[in-house]
Order: sequence, then C-alpha cells, then structure tokens
Amino acid sequence: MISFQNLNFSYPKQAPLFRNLTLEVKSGSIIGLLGKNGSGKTTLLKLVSGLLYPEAGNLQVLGHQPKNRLPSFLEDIFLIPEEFYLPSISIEKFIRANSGFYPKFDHKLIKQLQEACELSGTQSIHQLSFGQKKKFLITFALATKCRLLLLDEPTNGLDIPSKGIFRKIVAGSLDEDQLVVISTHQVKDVENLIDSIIILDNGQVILHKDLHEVSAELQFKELRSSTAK
Amino acid sequence: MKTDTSFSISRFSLLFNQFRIYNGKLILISISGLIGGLFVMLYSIQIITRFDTWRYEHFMYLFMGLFMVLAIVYSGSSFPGLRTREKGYNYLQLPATTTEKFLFELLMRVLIFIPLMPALYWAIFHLEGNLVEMLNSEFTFQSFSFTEGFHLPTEAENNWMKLFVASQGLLFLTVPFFGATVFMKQPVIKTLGWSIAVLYVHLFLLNPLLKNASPLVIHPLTAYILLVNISMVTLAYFKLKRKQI
Repeated sequence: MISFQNLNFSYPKQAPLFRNLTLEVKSGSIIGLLGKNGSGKTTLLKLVSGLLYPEAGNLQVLGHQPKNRLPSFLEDIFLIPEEFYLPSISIEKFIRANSGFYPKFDHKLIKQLQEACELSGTQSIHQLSFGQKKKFLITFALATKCRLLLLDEPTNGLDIPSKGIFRKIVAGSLDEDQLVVISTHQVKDVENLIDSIIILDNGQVILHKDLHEVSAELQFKELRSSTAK
Repeated sequence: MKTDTSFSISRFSLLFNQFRIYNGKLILISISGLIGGLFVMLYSIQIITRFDTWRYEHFMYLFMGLFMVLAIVYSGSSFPGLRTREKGYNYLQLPATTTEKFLFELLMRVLIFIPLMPALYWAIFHLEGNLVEMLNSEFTFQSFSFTEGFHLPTEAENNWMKLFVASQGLLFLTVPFFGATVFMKQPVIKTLGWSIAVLYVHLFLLNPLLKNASPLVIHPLTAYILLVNISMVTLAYFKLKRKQI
C-alpha cells in the first residue's frame, strides 16, 4: 500500500531529512508513527499524501505516485494535519459541499459518528471548540471510506472523554482494507488502538514491527537488590 | 467519478457547488457593497461638479480607473485555498485535477470579470444617472456605450486599437492571477510591488515606440502584450501544479 524505495528529501537550505529511506507498509492495520521532534513524522505524512515531493527515490502509495495528485488517489486518502482549517459554515453545509468528491462517502456512518461525538448538523463550525472541530474532521475522514487515513497528532486538543471517543470511533469504523497511520507523541492515547509501530530517528526507520512482536521480544522484569534479602 | 481524465464536468460542478456554499453570502454582500459604493461615488462626483452633464471621457476614465482597481483586488484574491498552510492542505488534497481547479479559478476570477464588471458598471451608471435626472432638474443625463471607437481613419485601425487597449486591461487581471499562485501571504500587495517594477522598465523601453503610435508599432506591441497575458496564465497553471506545502 505504501512503498518508499531509497527516498531522499530535504527542505530548502536545510540538512537532508531523509536519505535512502526504505519502508513498506501493507493495508489492514493501524500504525503508530513515533519519533522525537524533528524526526520527520509530519514530513513523511506529507510525502505520502502528495503535499511534498521527494527529491529522489521511488514512492508509491495505493499504486500511485502521490505527487501527481490524481483524483482517484485523492479520493482514497485523507490527511488530518495537526493544525487545520474549516470554513465558517454549518456542519451540514460542509458535508454537502465536500462529500460529493468522495464516491464511497457513507452518509449513514457520519450521522452515527456525529451522534457518538455529540455533534449536530446544524451547528456552525466556527462556534465549535478546537477539540470539537477535530472530532468533526475525524468523523468526516472516516465517512469518506478512504483506504488510507493519515492522522497527525490526532489526540492533541482532545479532552480525556474525547480521547476515548476517538479510539472508539476509529476502531469501530474501519474496514479490513483500510490503513490508518497515526503520528503522535502521546503514545498512551493510542497504545490500545495501534497494532504496529514505526519509529523514526534522524530520517531513518529504526523500528517497524507489530506490537505482538515487540512484546514477545521485550520483557519487563523486576530487579531486586541482593542486599534487600 | 472514478476517472483520472484531466477534466470532468461532474467534478467541475462539485467545485462550483463548494464555491457557492462557502462563499454565497460573501458574494451577495460584496456585489451589494459594490453597487452601493458606486452609487455613492457617482453621486458625490455629481455634487462636486455641480451636476454638470457627464461626458464620454468621464464615463470611460471612471470605468478604466474602477476596472484597474477592482481587477487587481479581485483577481489578486484568486486561489483563496492557497492563502494559508492549513487551507492549502484542504485545497491540494481535494479530489479534483489541477486542470479542473485551475480552470475553475480562471473562470471565476478572470473570465467572468471581463463581461460582468463592464455590464455592472454600465447598468449602475445609467440607473444612477436616470434617477438623479428625475430628482434633480439641473442634471441632464446622456447615455453612453463601450462600443464607441477611437475615431481612427479606418475600421481595421480602430479594431487594432481596441485590441491594444483590451490586452492592456487584461494585464490587470492576469498579472495578479499569476501573483496569487506565487505568493502565499498578501499576494495583491506583493504582486503590485514587482509588477510596478516590471511595468516601469517596460514603459521606459516602450516609451520611444509609443510616441509614434503607427500601425507598424501598435500591431507587434499588441501581439507582445497578448503574449505576456498568455504567459502569465500558463505560468500560473504550472505554479499550481508544482505547489508544495
């Protein structure tokens, strides 16, 4: 579904961020994209969604080159950035203005998700709090039924009950062929949701494993001092 | 819908639908404001000139001034989806081709302006004039039209001169349109900055030619200005196509 082959990328007048990055990700899972600040998590999501172009190497997402930004690719991908814009219209109007662009858009699902998030269609988006806006955007993204959902710090700005709702609606709305990539610092918020992790460091993937592999390889043991006996 | 052809009528109509839902109120308010503002401006000029009868030059100079200002402001506000990084994410990820997004902006910000602005100006000018004539016996209103020529010796020369003026007028739309794809923040001001510099150099170079405005000069000059217009639109397309955020 996502294939990076020897990918290079750098921002203008800055040191290279990715050098010969190679990564393969298959569909049907929820991936946690982890790494310290500046490790390239957001840039990776932007490259995957076609908002940035690689300098060299090969990048294939859903069988497309993202930089071409073809409609059949854009219909199947949805990125929710950490900072986003929503127009000052009602939720209903937003759905009416944008749902037509997504052929698989599920109107029934978005109603259910809105109810779960306590959002009403008549509410004006500009009157919503940041957290409510984010929840609405997540419900919209899920209702598009896109095959690839990219979430950049999705739990930032959500209160504790909303984080619970977020986990519930994401886990409950996905089909088997969908892939969700969640970039986050708040590992605790998504630890029960993700089934594999990718850790980025200095522009390289230093770990890409399923969670059960990780837990099989790592053991946490209690150490007791001999003097305590 | 599941097509990657460069142009789809259904996706184009979705762009129009989105534009209507997002901007419906704003468009109505802007047009109402423009009509009201123009009414006030025309009436103020009449008061200052003590209700002197309008002459054709007044009609045209006022039109040209308004055309320049409104064209720069309106066309410079093209691609509102590129004004901030956050809006850019939405705009570039909207499932439509670059061609569709580009043609939609070109239609709504350039092509629609060319007939609509003169028509609106003509209608308000005549409405206001007739209204003032009815209310004020001092004022005599005379009707004007844009079809009057330049009174040059031949029809062909008249047509060339019209094309020459129109191509220059078009620059006030195409240059800010291009600027809107280059600059993310305050594209109108930044475009004005560099276009004034370019215009200054052009006028400096073209001044000797314009002094002898013979057909020999007007024809290649018109072709040159039309080429600049086409270049601006073409460059805007490629800027949008290669846009990264």
